[in-house]
Parts: sequence; C-alpha cells; structure tokens
Amino acid sequence: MKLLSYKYFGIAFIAMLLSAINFEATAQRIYRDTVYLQNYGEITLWDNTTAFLYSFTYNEKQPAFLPGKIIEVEEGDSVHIFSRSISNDGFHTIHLHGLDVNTINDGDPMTSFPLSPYSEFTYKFLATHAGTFIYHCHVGDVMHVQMGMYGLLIVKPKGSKKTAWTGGPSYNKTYSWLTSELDKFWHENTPYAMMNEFKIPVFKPDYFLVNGKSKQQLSDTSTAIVASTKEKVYLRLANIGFYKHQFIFPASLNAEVVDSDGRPLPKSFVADTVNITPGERYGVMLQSSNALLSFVKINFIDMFTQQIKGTEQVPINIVQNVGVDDKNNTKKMIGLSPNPAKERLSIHINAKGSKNYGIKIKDLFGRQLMELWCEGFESKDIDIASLPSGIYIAEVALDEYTISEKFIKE
Amino acid sequence: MRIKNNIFGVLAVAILCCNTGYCKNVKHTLYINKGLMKTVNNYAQLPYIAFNFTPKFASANAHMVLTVGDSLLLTIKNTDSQAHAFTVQNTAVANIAVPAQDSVKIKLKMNQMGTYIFYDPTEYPKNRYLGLAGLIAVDTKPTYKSYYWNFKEHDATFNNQLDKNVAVNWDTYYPSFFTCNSLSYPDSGKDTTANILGNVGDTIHIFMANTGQAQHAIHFHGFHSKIIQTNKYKKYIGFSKDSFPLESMQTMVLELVLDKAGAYPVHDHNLLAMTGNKMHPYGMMLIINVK
Repeated sequence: MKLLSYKYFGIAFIAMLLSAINFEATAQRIYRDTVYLQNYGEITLWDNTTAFLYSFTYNEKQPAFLPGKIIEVEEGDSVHIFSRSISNDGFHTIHLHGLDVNTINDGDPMTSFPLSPYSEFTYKFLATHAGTFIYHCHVGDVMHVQMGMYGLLIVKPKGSKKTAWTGGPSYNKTYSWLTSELDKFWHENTPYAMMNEFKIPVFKPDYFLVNGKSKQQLSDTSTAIVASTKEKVYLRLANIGFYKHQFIFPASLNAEVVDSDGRPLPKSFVADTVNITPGERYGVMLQSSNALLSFVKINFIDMFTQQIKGTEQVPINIVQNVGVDDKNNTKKMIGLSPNPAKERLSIHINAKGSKNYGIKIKDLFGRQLMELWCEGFESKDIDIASLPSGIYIAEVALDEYTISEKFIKE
Repeated sequence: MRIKNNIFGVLAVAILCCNTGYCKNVKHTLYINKGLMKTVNNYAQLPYIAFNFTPKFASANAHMVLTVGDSLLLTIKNTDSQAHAFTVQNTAVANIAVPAQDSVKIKLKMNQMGTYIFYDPTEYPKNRYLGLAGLIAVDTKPTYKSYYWNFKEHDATFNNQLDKNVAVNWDTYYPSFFTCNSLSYPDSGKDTTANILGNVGDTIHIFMANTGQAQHAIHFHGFHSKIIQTNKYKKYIGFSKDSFPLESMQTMVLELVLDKAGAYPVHDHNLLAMTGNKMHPYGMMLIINVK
C-alpha cells in the first residue's frame, strides 16, 4: 500500500506545484484560517451523558467541537488552511470533500500524506464554485469521522451575496445542517493510534445528530428555523454519517431543491422528501405563505437493510408577516425583554382590565417547561437561567384569550 | 414532445452508428460457474456463482461492451447442477430458463446507451446475491475510454446459508466484504478495467452497477462527474456530483473529464464499506491516476 502511495505521489507532485502556483496568480484574495487536529475532547449529548471525541479546534486551548466550526469563504478566494496536529499520538489529515483539490492538498493519506503528531501543513485550494462542502479527517477514515473530525466548509458567492450561487436564487436567511450518527461504544473503545490496519466494531449508533445535537438540543438557534412568511430560507444539508438521511419537510414549506455537491442543478425540483446519502450535500429553498409551527423530520436509514434506525425532528417556526397596525396591537398586549435573554425575562402585560394571568414557557416541540399563575401585574420577571440556550415560546393566557411570543435564551 | 425528441435522438444515434459502420453483431458465451470467492487477505472463502466467459470459475462476473445499435448474440451455458434463469434488466429478455447442464441462445439489440445488469432472477434475490449478476455497457460510440464498475457487498454468513438453501433474514444483513468487480482494496487497485488511468484532457465514460443488496454512496476525490444515464431516478441525469447514491440494482453512466494530474481515490462514503472482515482499509475503493 505504501508503494502505491509513493508512486501516485511522485506522478502528481510536479503538476501539483504548477497548479498551486497557477491558482495563486488568479485568485482575488487570500482567505486564511487555522485548524488544530486533536485526538481528545468531549461532547455533552442530549441526555447529559458525555462522549469522548477526536476533534478540530481553532486555537490550541479550545475545548472540542462537534461538528467543527463552519469555515466560510468566498467564491474566487485562494484558501489557506494552516493545520497543526496537536495529538500526542496517531496521524490526521484534512480532506477537503467535494472541493476537487489537487492530490497534495486532498488529505487522503494513501495518495497524499498524513500529519504526524505536532507536524504542520497549510492546505491550499482555489474556491472555484459557491456551494456546501465538508472537511474531515481521512486517516482511518471510518474511525476518525465517527470520532467527530468533521465540519462544513461553505463557499459563498462573490461579495457574500445572499444567493445560493452567483446568479442563483436569492434568500433572506440561511441555515446549515450537518447530519451524522454517534455510536457511543465506538467512542469508548477507540484504538488510540490508527494509521494502517485496525479492526472496527459493529456499528450500532445510539445518537442521531444534526449539527452535533439531538432531541431538545435541536431548538438551538443555530439549528431550529425561525423565519417570517415573507422570508425565503436557504437550507444547506450535508450528510457525514454512515446512514442515509431522509429529510421530510412539511408540504406548506414548498421545499425546492436547487443545488447539490456545490453545483446548481440543471433544473430545480420541488420535493417534500429529500434523501441524502453519506458525503452528499443539497441546497433547499423553503418558504411558507402561512404561519407554521412544525418540524422537519429526519429519518436515519441503515444503508444495508434500508431500515429506519433513528428519527429526529428539527423545529421550524414560520410566523405570519404582520402589518404595522397588527404589530402595534400585538405590542400593546404583551412584550418580552430583553430578547434575547440570558438569565431573566421580563413579561410586560398591557391588557388593562385583565386580572389573572397564566404564563407557560414552552420549547418549540410544544413541551411545557415552566408554568406560573399570577394576579394583577403588568410586568413579571421570570428566572430562565436553567433553560438551555435556544428558542422558546412564552404563552400568556389572559381572561379570554391566549397570546404567544417567541424569545431566545442565550 | 420531449419523449419524441428523445426517441428521435436515440434513433439518430443508432442510424448514425450503423451508417458509420459501428453497428455489429457481438457474440459472447457466458458460463454459469459455481465456486468459492476468495476475499481480501484470504479472510474468507464465500460460496459464489458467476457468469464467466470460460467454463473456469472466476468470482468477477463478465462484462460485455457494445455500441448503440449493436446486436448481442449470447449463448448461456449452465455448468451448475441447479437450474438458473437469465434476465437483462430493462430489456425484453426476462426470466429465460437455463436448465442445469444445458444452454440457451439469446439475441438482443441494444438501442439505447446505458449500463444494463444481466442476472439470474431465480428465487430473487438469492441467485443474484450469490453472484450471478454482471453488466453490459452500451456506449454511443466505441471511441470513449471506458471503465466498468460492478459494486457488490457480501455477508459471509448469508452466502453460506443461502448456498445451503437456509432462509436468511435480510433485516439482519450486515455485510463485511465490499467489492468492485469482485475485488476489495488493495487488490481492486490492480484491476485495469476499473482503475482509471488517463491523461489531462481525457473524457472518460464509467459504466457502473450495484448488483449487491445494500445501497452504496460513491464519492470521487478530485473531481465532479456528470451523470449521463441511470435506470432509476431519471431526474439525476445531468447532475454534476462528487458523491451520489447507487441503490441495489441501480445502474449509471458517468462522464468524467480529467482536468488535473494526480492520484485520486474513489470509494464508498458509507465508510463502513472501507473495511474487509471489519478490518480497515480493505474495502470498496479504486484509484483514478492522471498523468
């Protein structure tokens, strides 16, 4: 195997140097970033248990991330990712998945080279196409990816315009979901150093992840979709797991698939179900003409048996875009401040004449987390310090009707 | 209107091919041979059946290469003690009986570009799973540089049980060998019909099929390729992809333009398939080598 590697490396090397020089000359700006590669870290899962990780971090003392941060560059950028292994054992790489980079920058240890402990390399490439890509470790790939060494790399159109690609469909808001699975047994029984041959356990994932989160963690503001009926949402979907991920959208979202793997589709199509197999990426435009409090359901499907092994639901909240008069009326009835809030949330009631107030705090799944019953107040402070960060709904029941308002817990 | 145009296009290609002398009769004999498939690193030997060009068993199924408009004149000889049958997917050739120790002749005109799986539908999917599935590559003209990928995965327990006519529960299927043309990495790296060797500027056609039971997720390093034909999910035609699914019994034809030198892996991105006998890295992987 090593002989093969040397052969391919030799054939490619001169051409790689030439192409590296070539793209430097044509690029408009240089985007620089730093990634540290480490074989230690920890993630807290939805059930408050933890899992051992390998991870990408962005300074040497940072805690582990799952997934790695989103690296955002612009189309036409010359991208330089300085990489340093801070693992005290084992090898790592960064594979720039879908970016069609040359061999030396490709990060496959068999055809390029691995980073040994405390070694460094600057991966370089020209961002030729706007789109959604992945970066992940390719050493002992099945294990290092499962251990958490992955993240999204997004190439925006020139000028970071709010379009899917240069000249592509426009949007108002964007979200990115990088989906995966986690088998805790693997994380607790990982061979510490892996480069060549090693044995893997049977894969039986017990956590199904969207941006490293699941269950109630999915109401996190970076994952749950919140928009108005006048806003078009561009949702980037990427699968770095070992299962097929099936995204089922509410029909009223009019999900339109517009691009895949960093390329516009010849013709977009509307679909309420989008299947994404490992390594694929899709761009989906969402817009609802009516208010909607619902979920995008994600099935995690075993590629061997086609059985659904897990399901997650990401909240989606589309609010009716209200006119100025309606907005003023709503403001007269209930106000939340500060919003976003960290520890305390003040609820201001402006409904004169009402004497009894029931206040419920719910998450976007509709689960009730807090309930208070108050009399004769116009402003009430609530301790929300114990709530995990995310989007919540304060539901105030007045004498005859109920008013709901969203707030963000930081 | 679009259908008419497509039919017209196919006919035009067929007429053009025949007028330019491309159309021909292609004769092949396929032997149904039973044997043992050696897995990577000799981890296991699996009971297996294959379509071969000779009476000697080889685990790699034959692949046949034709041009649009060609006629395939096929003799199928069954060397097995069991009866089999023969089907060419998406054609009129379906469930042709091939009795034990007997032979049949088939004529089939290939009028459309694509990858076609030929297989044994008997006790489906048993005989197809046990190996009886190869591919026919039909290109628009014979001048493209072409490669042939027959992907498949294998669960040793299932092979042994099915060979003994013991029922299996596909809901428990967990394959541990992943092959292209019956080979896993690094052995697959020696297959000149599968590993792309080209020069910058070459346009390559890749004829691929998934004759296994599982779904695979093929990922190209270094390149996007264009899907120019598939037998399922026609909306994928025209997509430029670096990663794409290949379902059981799905076929594709990809067009790949080699725009830079170097060595680039192609592998299943269900990374569980990058293993053999649960050992990494003996799985489903090929190399594109561009000078």
